[in-house]
Amino acid sequence: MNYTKIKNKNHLQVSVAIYTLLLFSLIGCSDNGNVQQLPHRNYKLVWSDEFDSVAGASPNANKWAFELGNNGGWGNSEYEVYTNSTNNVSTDGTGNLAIVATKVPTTPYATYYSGRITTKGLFTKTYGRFEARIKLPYGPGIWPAFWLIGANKDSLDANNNIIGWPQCGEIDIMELNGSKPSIINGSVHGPGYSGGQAITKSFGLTTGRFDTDFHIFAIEWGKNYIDYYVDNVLYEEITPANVAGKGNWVFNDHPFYIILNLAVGGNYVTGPTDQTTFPQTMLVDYVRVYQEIQ
Amino acid sequence: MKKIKFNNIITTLVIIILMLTVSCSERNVNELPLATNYPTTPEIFIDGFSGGLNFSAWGKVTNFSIDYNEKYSGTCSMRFEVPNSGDPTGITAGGVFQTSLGRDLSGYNVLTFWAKSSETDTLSSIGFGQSTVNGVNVANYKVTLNNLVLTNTWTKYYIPIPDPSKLTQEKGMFWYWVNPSSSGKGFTFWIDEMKYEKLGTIAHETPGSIYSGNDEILNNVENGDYTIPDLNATFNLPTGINQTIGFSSGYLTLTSSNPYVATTSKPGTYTVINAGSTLVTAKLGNNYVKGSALINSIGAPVLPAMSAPIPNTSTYPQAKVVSIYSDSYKNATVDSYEPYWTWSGGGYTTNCTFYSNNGNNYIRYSNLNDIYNQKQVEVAISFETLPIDVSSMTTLHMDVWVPASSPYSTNIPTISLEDWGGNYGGTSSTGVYTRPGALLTNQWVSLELPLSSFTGLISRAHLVHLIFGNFPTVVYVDNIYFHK
Repeated sequence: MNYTKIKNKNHLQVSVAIYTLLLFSLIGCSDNGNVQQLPHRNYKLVWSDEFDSVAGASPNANKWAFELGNNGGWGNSEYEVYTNSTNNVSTDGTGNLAIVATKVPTTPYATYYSGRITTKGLFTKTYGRFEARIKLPYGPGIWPAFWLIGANKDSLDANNNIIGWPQCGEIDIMELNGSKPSIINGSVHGPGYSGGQAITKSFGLTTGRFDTDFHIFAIEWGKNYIDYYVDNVLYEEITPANVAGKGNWVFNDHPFYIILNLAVGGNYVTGPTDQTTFPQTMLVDYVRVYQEIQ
Repeated sequence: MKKIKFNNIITTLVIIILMLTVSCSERNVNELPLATNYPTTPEIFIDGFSGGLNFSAWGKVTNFSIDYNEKYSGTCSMRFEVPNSGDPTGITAGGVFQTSLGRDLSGYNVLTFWAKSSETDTLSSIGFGQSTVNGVNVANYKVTLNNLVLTNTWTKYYIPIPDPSKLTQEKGMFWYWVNPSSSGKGFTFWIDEMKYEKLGTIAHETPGSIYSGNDEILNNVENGDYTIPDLNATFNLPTGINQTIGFSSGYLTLTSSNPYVATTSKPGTYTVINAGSTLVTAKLGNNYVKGSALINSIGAPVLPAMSAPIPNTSTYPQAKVVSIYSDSYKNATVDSYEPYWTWSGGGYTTNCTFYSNNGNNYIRYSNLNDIYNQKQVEVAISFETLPIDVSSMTTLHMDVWVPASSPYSTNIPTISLEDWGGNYGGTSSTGVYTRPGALLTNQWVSLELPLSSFTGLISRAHLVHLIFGNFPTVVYVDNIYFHK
C-alpha cells in the first residue's frame, strides 16, 4: 500500500487534490519553489490504531499501555497526574481517541489530570513511517506530544549499566506549546544533545492553527536519516551530520516505542494560567506505522 | 468500493474540465451578489491615515497627535496623551476615527495593531463599531476591549470581530476612552500599523449569553421594540491566551418563531407587533447563544381610558407653580424627558412615548423595570441646561397611571430629586421619596409629595433631575409640577 492514500473522511479532499494537480499541470511545469520534490519511498502498513471503538471506551489494551501518576514531574517539572480513567483517555465513538486534560480545584493548588499511553512492551519498531492525525489542544501550559523512545532504555549495556535516557534516543514527531497554537516542533534527543540542546525545528501554519483542525504529523525514519512532515510537507531532515561534535547518532539499528500524551505545565511550556481553558482535548484520529518496501 | 471512488474521481474531473471549458453564458442578474460599492480598505493607520477617515476627540481635545520619532515601523505612529486626573482641559483621552462612507469589513475577522505605552499601563476601553452620525451615537455594532494592559515594548494586539458578516457598511473604524492610571497619573501610548485582517489564527469563539443564559418566559409584553443588551464573547488569540470582548447585540442574528407576533429586522432588537406568543433565540455567527425569551404579548399597549385630572389652576395658578410637564401650565425648559442614561446598567433600554387623549398629552414610559434585562432601570427627566429653582415651592404633584397588566405592578416606587448645588463648586445632593405602598392600577393616582419628604436633599435651588426608580415596567405620567 502506498502511504499517500491517507484516510479521507470525505471525498472533497481527493477532489481538491486532483483539482490542485490539474491546476499545476495547466500552469505548466515551471520550477515553482513551493513544490517539494519528496523522496520516493514505498511503504506498507504494519501497525495501526484507528480508534474506531464505541464512545467512552479505553484504548485497546493489546496496543496501548497507560503510564500513570506524576512520576516526579516526568523529568520536566510537569504538573499533571496521568490516570487510566476514561475521563482522561477514551475513544469518542466517532473514530478518535480523546486524551483530555482536566483541572480540579484543590487547595492550595489545582490538580490536573490527563493521559499518557504508550506501545512500550506491545509494539516497537526500527525505521519506517510513523504518522498520526491529530487535532491539538491549546492554551498556556498545555503540552501535547506524539513521540518515540528507544526500546532499549531499560536494558543493560555491555558494561551492565542501564542504557537509560538520552542514550536510548528520543524522536519527538510532534510537540506543541499551547501558547503558540500555530507552531509545532520536531526534535531528536540523544547523548550530548538532549533537553535544551536537542536538535529541533519548528513548523508553523501561516494562516491557521493546530487546534482548529486535524493535521497529519509524521516522520520517515531510516538508516542515518529522520525526515519530519506536517500534512505531507517535509520541513526537516535530521542526520548524523546534525549531531556531529555533540554525541553519537543513536537512531540506527534499535527499535523504538510510541507515546501519546498531553502534559500540563513543565519546563517546556511553564504553567497553565487563568487564561487556560479546561478541559483541553488532544483528539487522535489514528496512529499508523509503515514499513518501507523496496 | 474502489469503483465508486474511481467514479467520484471521474465525476470531479468532468466537472473541473467543464468549469474550465464552458464559455461565459449569460447569467440571470438576480443570481449575482449585490454590489455594495462600500470600500473594503483594511488599513486604518500605517504611515498616516487611510483615505476618508475623520477624527473627533472626546475628553481632552488635544490628546491625539502623529509622532514621527516613536514608531513600530515606517515613518510615524499615532500618539495619545492621557492627561493627569486633575487636568482642567479634560481628564480623559478619548476619540473616534470614523469614515464618512461606510466600509465593508465583512472579509476580515479582527482589528490588529501594534502598541506600547510610556510605562506599563492600562487602556480603559478601546474598540470599533461606533460612530457619530448627525450628532447621534450609532453603536449597533460596537465592540469593546476593556483594560488592555500595555507595556513599553511594541506588542501586537487583537480585537476580534464577533460576526464579520454584519459589518457591510461600518463607519466606526476605531475608538478609545482611556482614563489616567489608578494613581491619577497621566501617561502616553502609541499605536501603529492598525488594520483589519483576516486571520486563521483567531479561534474558539465562545459567545456569552442573553437573559443570563436562562430560558425566560415574559408575560404581558406590549407591542414595541425590545433591544437585547450588550454581551460578551471570548476568543483564543494567536498567543494561546483567551480574550474577552464586549459587543453590541446587533451582531446577534435573532430569530422569532412566530413572525406574526414579533419581527427581528432591527439590529439586536425584536419588535413585538401583535398579541400572541413567540420564542426569541439568538445566534452569533453559527453558534447558538445560550438563553431565550418566550414572549407572551398582549399586543397594543393598554392605555388609560380617560385623561388625568385637570389641575385646578385657580387653587394653583401659574404664579404658584413650576411645571415640568403639563398642558395646564407653561413648562420649564427640559433637556429630555428620557435622557440616554446608561448608569442604570445594561445600556439604554427604556422607551418614552408621548400620547394624547382628546388633546390632553401624557407620557408613557415602558421597560422601566426591565424584565428583559432583569434589572431595574431608572429613568430621569433632565433639566441640566437650566437648573430649576423650587426653593419657594412646598410640594411635588404628579399623576400616575399603571396598567394592571404591567409586570412589576406591585413594586414600591421611589422618586428622587437631584440638585447640583450651583454650576461650579456647589454641593450636590439627592433627595429620595419612597412611596409607602404600591400604586393602584388602572386608575389615575394623584401624588402630592411634600418636598420635605425627599430625604437627603440639601438644596432645591438648582434641581437638574427628577428620577423614577423601581417603578412598574409600564407607567403613564402627566401633570408633573411643583407648587406652593
